[in-house]
Amino acid sequence: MEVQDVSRRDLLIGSLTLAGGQLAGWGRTSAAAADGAAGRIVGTSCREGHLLLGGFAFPRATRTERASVVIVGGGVAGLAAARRLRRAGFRDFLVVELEETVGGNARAGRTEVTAFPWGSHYLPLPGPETREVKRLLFELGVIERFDRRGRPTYDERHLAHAPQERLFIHGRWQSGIYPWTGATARDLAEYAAFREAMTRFRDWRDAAGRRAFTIPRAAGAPGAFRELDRISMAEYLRSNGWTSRRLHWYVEYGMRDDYGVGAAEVSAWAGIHYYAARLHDPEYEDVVLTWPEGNGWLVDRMAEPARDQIRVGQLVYNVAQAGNRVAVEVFDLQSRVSYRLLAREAILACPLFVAARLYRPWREKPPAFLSSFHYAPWLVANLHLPAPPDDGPGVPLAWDNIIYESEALGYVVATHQSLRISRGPTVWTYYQSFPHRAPQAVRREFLGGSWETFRDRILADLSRAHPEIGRRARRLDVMLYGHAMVRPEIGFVCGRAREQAISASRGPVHLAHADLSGLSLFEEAFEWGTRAAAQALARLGR
Amino acid sequence: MPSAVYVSVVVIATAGLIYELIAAAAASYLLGDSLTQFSTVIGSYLFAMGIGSYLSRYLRRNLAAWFVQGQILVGLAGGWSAALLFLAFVHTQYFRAILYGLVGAIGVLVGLEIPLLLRLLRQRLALRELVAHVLSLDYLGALAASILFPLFLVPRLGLIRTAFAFGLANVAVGLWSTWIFRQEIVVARFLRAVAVAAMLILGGGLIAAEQLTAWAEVRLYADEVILARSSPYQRIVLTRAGDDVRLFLNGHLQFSSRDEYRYHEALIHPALAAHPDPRRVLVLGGGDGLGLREILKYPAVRSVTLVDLDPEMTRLFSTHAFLRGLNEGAFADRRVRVVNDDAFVWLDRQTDVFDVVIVDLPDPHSFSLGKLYSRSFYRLVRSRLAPGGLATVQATSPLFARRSFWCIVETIGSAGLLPHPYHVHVPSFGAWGFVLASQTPYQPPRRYPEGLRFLTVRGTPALFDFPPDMARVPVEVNRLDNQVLVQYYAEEWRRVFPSSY
Ligand SMILES: Cc1cc2nc3c(=O)[nH]c(=O)nc-3n(C[C@H](O)[C@H](O)[C@H](O)COP(=O)(O)OP(=O)(O)OC[C@H]3O[C@@H](n4cnc5c(N)ncnc54)[C@H](O)[C@@H]3O)c2cc1C
Repeated sequence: MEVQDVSRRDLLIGSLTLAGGQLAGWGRTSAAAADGAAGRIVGTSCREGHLLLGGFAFPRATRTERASVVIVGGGVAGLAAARRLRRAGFRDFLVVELEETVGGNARAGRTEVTAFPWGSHYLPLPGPETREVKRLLFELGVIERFDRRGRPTYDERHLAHAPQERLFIHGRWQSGIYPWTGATARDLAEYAAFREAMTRFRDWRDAAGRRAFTIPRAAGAPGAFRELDRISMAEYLRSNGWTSRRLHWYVEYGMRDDYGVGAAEVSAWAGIHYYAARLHDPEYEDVVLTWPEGNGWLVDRMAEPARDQIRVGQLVYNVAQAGNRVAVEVFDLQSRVSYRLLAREAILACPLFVAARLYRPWREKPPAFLSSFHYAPWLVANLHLPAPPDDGPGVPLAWDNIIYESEALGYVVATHQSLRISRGPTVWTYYQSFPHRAPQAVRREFLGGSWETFRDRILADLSRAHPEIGRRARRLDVMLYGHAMVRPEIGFVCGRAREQAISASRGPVHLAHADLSGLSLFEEAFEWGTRAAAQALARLGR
Repeated sequence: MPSAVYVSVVVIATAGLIYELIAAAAASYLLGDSLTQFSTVIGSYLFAMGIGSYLSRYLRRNLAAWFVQGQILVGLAGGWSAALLFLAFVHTQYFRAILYGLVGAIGVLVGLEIPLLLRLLRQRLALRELVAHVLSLDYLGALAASILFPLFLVPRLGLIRTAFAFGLANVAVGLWSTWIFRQEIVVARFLRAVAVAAMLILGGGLIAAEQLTAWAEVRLYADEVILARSSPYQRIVLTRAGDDVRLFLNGHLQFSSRDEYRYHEALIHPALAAHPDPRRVLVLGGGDGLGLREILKYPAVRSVTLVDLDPEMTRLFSTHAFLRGLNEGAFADRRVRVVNDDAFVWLDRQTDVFDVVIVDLPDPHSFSLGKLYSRSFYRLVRSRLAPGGLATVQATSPLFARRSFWCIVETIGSAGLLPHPYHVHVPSFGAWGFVLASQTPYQPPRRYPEGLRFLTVRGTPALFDFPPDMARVPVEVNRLDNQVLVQYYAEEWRRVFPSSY
């Protein structure tokens, strides 16, 4: 069978139906560019993922294996589930992951120079509600101890080193993201009022002492401020009389950066969540946790103890109940044969739109909630620089470097956390979301676009602040995520579809993915994975 | 004949662009902000070329002679441009005026070249051919220049030599042209003589380029420069005035041979002499070996590991006769082991422990250096101290950088060590501070090795006393995530030396 041809047709179907499998990246490569930077579009799972769209007849399973629990997907949720199982002393499980490496949207890459993120790159300091993640951080030594009031002390090596952020505006780099440069008194007053409003949301508590905006969401006061889900973040700003262009840019940037959606479309509830959920620790200000490889650092450490139970390069294509068992059918991408895993419990730790293609009852009759889950496409590029370019005018290079009024989100520096004083080769990770374009149109461009087009666009954007970047970059690889994260749109974040999806976990099949929160965050994924594993254990009588 | 002319066109086009790049590169190097320097220099240069092209209409006769003179002048001005700019920067107040004057003059002369050539050749070739050839070669030369300049010329020759080399090339084209256009030139002999003189002037510059560089630098330092080296990490410069030899790293004074003994005795002995049995010693930084010299006065010392980032530093101070004399051949001592590595990263990988650790690192001028003064770093130092071990940290000036100094004290305290701040007077530095860090309460030494010139047992307790103008101030702990020290330091030294920041 000529798999190559079939999958190419699937690609075509993907672009026509615009439903898409997970477009986590592609296999097209390109030769070195004329101006020195080599590179390619990396990842393979777009082609493989699209096999799920139908039209491809998976070979019949030739053998059967058994495991008490099967976890489909080795992203943060899947690995958190594995961790929860192991913590209970439970070893009879398997994680099956499509890609060659685990991590999903939090996976990382590595060269001899440094490790670098391909997606998720930081974690805010956990607040009082973020219990499970805090425990993970303590186990990994990121949190050294808790004081008498339960407040964590961090090993500062894992905190983003100073200087954390800078913004290129009017030809110079300033520190911080808010565009102070050239701000008027009115701009500053609005910014202060906005911060104050966010602080009030942050400190609000219900009668039971629960905050409204928490991470994970599930720990917050149910239903609090749900009316804010009916308007957009931009409307929320306007309704307070805030019109400052700088404030709007600042909030817009936050939305694009965290959700991949513009302030005009994002639910005000989600927008406020971004500012109000993170607890302000006077000791650490607004510092975040980060590593050269971003949250890939956490992923690797979660995966390491379970390495014997993880299988990569495995495409799950069918999940169905078979008597009192769950049959999980897997296509091994390397050997091109299929096999069946017979499990007592299955955890679908993959995005909902993928789960709907795997789980037979849903494949046959798509659940109603599915059409409310929309996904934002993202582009991530890694630039390999043999030597760092000049810092440019203004404040020196920071961890996160943003260009004012750029279409993209700027870049983070993988070697920023290095303890060396000598500055050598480095990797910059460039992020872009597409808030003002229809996701379908972006996906179509992803399918058709050449590496050269993306490279030229990225270098042109960066050269506004770094004119010499085109000459400096040795290599530039691009990762295209057709469906990177669920869009927290108006009406969706506190809406019924999401609740229905949460309660759709029935019997031995459990859903676990950040999608269920409507907010794509590491901690949310972690929470759902942990919860699904606990449920599975309970059903197994453990 | 045309091919000879075409070669000339490529040469002058290359040279023309090279001068522009040199001026822009020198301006960015000296003034910083390369974006602005490049765009203003290139802009004014192109504008001046336009003026030159326009002015060419006023030259009506003797075109060939004008062309030759133009070449000689461009050669002289362009050839000397880099040297002039560097000298102007250190010796005059009018760097910018000279920069734009020079750029303008060279631009006008270069702008004259091509129109003159086109007119000279008009009689011999069809206009269509002529324009196509000359202009395409002109652009070819520009391409050659833009590739050669960053890849070969600057790294191999440096700016000053590159300029002289292309100056010579321009004059050579002028000289050669006196033969190519011999029918048109009446005063060919005279022009040849002028060209040869110009070549001598430029050749002299080329030969003296090294001295010129040194001379330019001499003025950055007050005294005679006796040695200057660039390593991948820093510029190492040694100056001398009489018997006073000074070391500068990236322009920052490290020691003066007249009073360095005060600094190094104070850095080493309060810890070493107080330790009952200092067998294993670690020095972080201190690639000049002067601290080593003091450490090696203790027979109890079995091994000293010195970790300095820059191999050029340790090589220089172990081989250069005069410098070896300063540290009394410390690097040749069998007990000494040199490691060239980044201190934080190296220490992080260690499992050995030490009885005394000396931290003699550059001041926290930058965020990367600031990491070597962080709580994380001192905790690492603590973890590498043997029971009863002591550490001493050089901690900038408690007088000029008071908050910086106390921030270091505070940070060492937050890392779980007991800090004991003290200070000495080093005339070339002023009041200088150190912090001794111990695990148990510290008693100043009851005896010192023979032959110290500064420290005495009786005088030591007074060093730990801080007069009101250097007394403790409230400061924050320096952590990797806040790097408050770098901010304190920049603010405080900016007040002392407003021009250097
Ligand atoms: C560019 C980008 C930047 C981000 N930055 C941050 C950040 O800084 N901080 C933060 O908190 N969050 C960030 N996020 C969000 C965060 O990465 C996600 O919320 C989180 O990683 C989601 O984890 P998950 O396990 O729920 O899902 P996923 O990461 O989607 O994991 C699903 C896994 O299932 C696998 N899979 C899918 N289908 C199949 C199949 N059929 N068979 C087998 N395996 C399959 C996938 O390959 C994948 O590994 C970012 C996301 C993106 C895209």
